[in-house]
Amino acid sequence: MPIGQAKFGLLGGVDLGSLELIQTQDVSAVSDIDFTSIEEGVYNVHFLVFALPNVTSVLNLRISNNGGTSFISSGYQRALQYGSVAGSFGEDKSTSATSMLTFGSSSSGREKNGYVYLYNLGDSSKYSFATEHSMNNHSSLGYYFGFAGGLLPTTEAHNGIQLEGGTGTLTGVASLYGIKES
Amino acid sequence: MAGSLEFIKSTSGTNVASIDVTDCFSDKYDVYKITLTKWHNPSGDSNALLRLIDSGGSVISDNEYDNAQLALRSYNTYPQDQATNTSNMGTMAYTPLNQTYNVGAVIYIFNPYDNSSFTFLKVQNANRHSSGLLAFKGIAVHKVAEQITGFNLYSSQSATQDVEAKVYGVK
Repeated sequence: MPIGQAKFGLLGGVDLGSLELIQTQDVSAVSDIDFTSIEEGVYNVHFLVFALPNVTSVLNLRISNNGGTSFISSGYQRALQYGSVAGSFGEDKSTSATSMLTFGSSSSGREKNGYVYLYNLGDSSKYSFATEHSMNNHSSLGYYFGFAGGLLPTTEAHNGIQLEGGTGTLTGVASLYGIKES
Repeated sequence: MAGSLEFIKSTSGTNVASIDVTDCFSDKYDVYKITLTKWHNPSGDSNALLRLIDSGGSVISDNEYDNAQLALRSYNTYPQDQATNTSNMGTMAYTPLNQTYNVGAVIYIFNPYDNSSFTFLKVQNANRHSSGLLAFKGIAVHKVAEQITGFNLYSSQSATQDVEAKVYGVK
């Protein structure tokens, strides 16, 4: 079952109305999770939700301008606020980031769960933006929340989304939805 | 239509001083999602501020709101902004002078139509500032129990705007 349906209490694959499932990927020990058919011409807001119980290195989000043949690895701007159960709160920001969003590092197979909104990906006259809210587990912080924004300051269409695992692997489920415009 | 997220209406405007989105809240839903993907100001920096519209169609501009926001900036520290007994629910989007990068925002509004409840809001957005990314995470409340039927977006700088927004009901 797509995890978005579970998240919103929708059982049995019922009609999701204006929240339309594009793709669910249920993966085990993969390097990255790529969405390469995102229907960017249909939706101007995408919703990505993920539940990854085993992330062994890092988790980042990148986008593509060539259908996922490659994913852009420079030029992003992002800002993250985090707060941990151990009382560590802080900022993580960059004007020259290698990913649009980061959900932080992870070692020994830790959890990362969250949702992301992506805006205007298919509109070549606008920048692409993202916002997220997530709950993660980190080797030193322990469990922490993160919320963040990110953008790629380039006016071009983007047609691929990647959850990137760095040198490690990702295990779990990720679902991409489009928010229908009418 | 059956479903968890149901489209209600879209609105857009060009060179408008503010925009009223009327008759979008009803007894059909308790929670509403608003997406905002365009906020362009040809004449200056501009914060998109939100006010509610009551059942008589009037924009509520009295000091009946509390709000709190954290501004996440890729280029600097994160300032806090909060107010009590103020006249709006905070910044839903931001644009610098005459830039067409536009914005991305999702806003949730809770219990607007219930005349026995306050109306609550949360927002997350990402915007382009001239120095980099500027994102907001915020909450707000309208501290009067009355029936709310719509909302108003207006510029903090009283300039005209181009705007696009869509409203959905959350089942």
